[in-house]
Amino acid sequence: MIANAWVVWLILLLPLGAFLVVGLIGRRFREGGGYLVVGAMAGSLVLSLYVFVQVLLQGGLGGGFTPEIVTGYVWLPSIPGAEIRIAILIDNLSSLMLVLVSFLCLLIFIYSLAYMHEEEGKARYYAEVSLFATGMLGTVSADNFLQLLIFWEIMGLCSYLLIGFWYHKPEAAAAAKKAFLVTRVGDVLFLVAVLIIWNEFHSLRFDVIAPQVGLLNPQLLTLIPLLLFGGAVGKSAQFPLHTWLPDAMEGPTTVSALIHAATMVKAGVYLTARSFIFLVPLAPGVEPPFTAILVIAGIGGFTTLFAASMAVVNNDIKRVLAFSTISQLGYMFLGLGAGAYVMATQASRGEEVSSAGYSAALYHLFNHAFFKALLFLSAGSVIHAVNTNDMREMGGLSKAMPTTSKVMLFGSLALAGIVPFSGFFSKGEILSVTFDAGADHPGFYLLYAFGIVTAFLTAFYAFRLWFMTFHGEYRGHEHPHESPRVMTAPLMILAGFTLVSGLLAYPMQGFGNLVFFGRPEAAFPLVGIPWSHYLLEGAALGVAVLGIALAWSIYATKRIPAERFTTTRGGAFLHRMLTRRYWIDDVYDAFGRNVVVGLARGLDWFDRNVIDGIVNAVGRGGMRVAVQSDVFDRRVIDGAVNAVSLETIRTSWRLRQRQTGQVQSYAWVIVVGLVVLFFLMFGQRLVERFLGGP
Amino acid sequence: MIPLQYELLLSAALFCIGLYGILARRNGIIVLMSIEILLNASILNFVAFSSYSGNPSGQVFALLGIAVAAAEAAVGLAVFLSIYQTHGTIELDKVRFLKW
Repeated sequence: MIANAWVVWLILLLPLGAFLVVGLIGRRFREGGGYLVVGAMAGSLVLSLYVFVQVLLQGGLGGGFTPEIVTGYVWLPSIPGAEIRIAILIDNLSSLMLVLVSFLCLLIFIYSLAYMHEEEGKARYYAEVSLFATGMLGTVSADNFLQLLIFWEIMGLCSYLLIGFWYHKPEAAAAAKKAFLVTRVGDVLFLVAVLIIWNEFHSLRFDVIAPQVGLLNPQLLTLIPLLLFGGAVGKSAQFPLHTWLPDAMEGPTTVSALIHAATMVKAGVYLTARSFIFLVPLAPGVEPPFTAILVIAGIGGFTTLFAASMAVVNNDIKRVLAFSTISQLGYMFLGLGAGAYVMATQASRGEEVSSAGYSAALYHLFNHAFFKALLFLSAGSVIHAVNTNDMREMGGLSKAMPTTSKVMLFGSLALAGIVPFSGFFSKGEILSVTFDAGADHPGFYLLYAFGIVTAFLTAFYAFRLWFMTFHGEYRGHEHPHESPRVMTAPLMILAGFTLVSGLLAYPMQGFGNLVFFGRPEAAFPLVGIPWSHYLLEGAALGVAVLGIALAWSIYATKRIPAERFTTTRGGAFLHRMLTRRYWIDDVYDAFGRNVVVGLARGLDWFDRNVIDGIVNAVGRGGMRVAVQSDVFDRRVIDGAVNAVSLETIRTSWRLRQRQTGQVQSYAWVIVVGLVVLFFLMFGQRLVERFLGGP
Repeated sequence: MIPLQYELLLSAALFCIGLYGILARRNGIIVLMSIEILLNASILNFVAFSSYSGNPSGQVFALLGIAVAAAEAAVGLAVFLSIYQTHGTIELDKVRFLKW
């Protein structure tokens, strides 16, 4: 039990309140309410740390902390477990994510104070990032799938708004629209998964669903995690829904850092980690959904190489980082998939499960969040100084911007996976787990090959970026200068974390203990692992060094001219293919232009000719019936009425003729009437009297 | 004593004359006079039956009838006078203002 557990609500409500206040009256504050947003986020961080420390103190490290649910608002009451509610789940994973998210958001917000200083619409920016932070914190702390989906969509909305922050730029508006539409594909799949889960379990809560997963039929057990992964693919920009993320760089760099580094794209990984209750049902006798696991690992492994290859040729400093993000997320999915495969195999054999892959993927998520935030914010610092994104117009900036160049070097080393920077530990673990999974399914050897090639490419493009930006002579026309302290301070903190976050696993007795899945596990990175793993770690490190060396010889010493790769026909084709991003964006655009617009035209034609035709025919038919009815009304109904009245008039006219006004004619009538009356009364007697009746 | 039948026959003859006058003549004064004859025919009946039966109430009724006839003649003449003043005639087939 956590004392004062209700404070976790404040973690969400502080940024939400800041959003409301800044969104409504932010323009009246200094810096458009920036200080208020930073303050709210700092409050969230403090409370998150409080919760996190409580979890750790109460045995979180060994898995002794029983997940705790802080109930809040019950939306649709029902029997316990089936009600729809907003509640916060506190377990190892969510408390760690809360700290991670609030910490990175805080640093990025502080950095924003300087970066956005000269922008118009600061209040809008701070309101939106604050709501974004609410969405992310809500996503990682949700206790049921619906709540997760709601906050997930809030994030999606905010990313749309923030990517399109400079909405007057057509590219930014288009990129925002693209991001929204592409992620929507995944969101629909996620929604379908939520509906199926509700239909099957009559509950959306993780803790209620988990023990019942064994009762699910095998097809659904495969389908549900695949649909959830579909949501993750959209949000985390995995192949084939990766196209939105590089274009999302049209937003402010701080937003790129917030969306790509800290949080939003990690939501997909988090969701997949949460869907481990489906992937690895720990109930005995249940066949795990191996197909779903293979799809996850396959898409992750493919995307990691696919995106890294595109990062190699791009000249936009932020786009390189965007492709790098896609690639690193691919690593995380590969780790989750391989880890799930190993766990599922062990579980189906009845062995003790090892959550190595699960923890490795989340370890990478944790490390990547720091070094990618660092890289994006450093890139922002560079862009701030030289006013361009194009690396061909940079170069030699290490003289003008010593701090930025140094922290970016830290970030690049972590990204490349050089010991002892954080990327080395987590990436090595993921690759080791993937290699291990190869023993259970040979496909993982191929994915391992993808992973190791990617490790080489990653190191190459990371240092290509660094050398092109900071080495050699300045090629642009601005007067670069170092960024203000309020920007460099968060950079230095993050640079520190690129070193610390990897090593943090040692005092925690292995990162696996921190996130904890299945059972407690003490595994220090690089300690007590089989000799084969040392080889694998060595291989990963070796290819990274090779990649850096290649980047050095091409872009720093220029011993190998870059043109050599594009002069051959094959090389030119490859270069063209990579710069055109495998033509996938073109294909999607063509699909939109031809198929969707064609379909719309067809529907328009159908609407105009068929639907409208039917409507008009019905209208005409109605008019014809109305005309007939009108004729009937006039001729028959009115005819009857008129006939009656006319006959009345005629009769009365005839009767009127009898009333002459001549008294004598009336008298005649009276006399004749009297005579008739008289005969009627006395006639019989008269006849008897005078004619002699019987 | 005159037998009752004769009296009744006379009365009936007077009645018929009066009736004829009412129905056939056009002059309003003649019609008024015919009405008087008609009334007297019925009064004669009263008197005849009264003397026949020895009941005097018939004679009382006859006197009442005469009084009524006088009053009626006075009213009738006044009506015709005023018709004459307004319409300039008392020809009954020209006096048609009772019509609608």
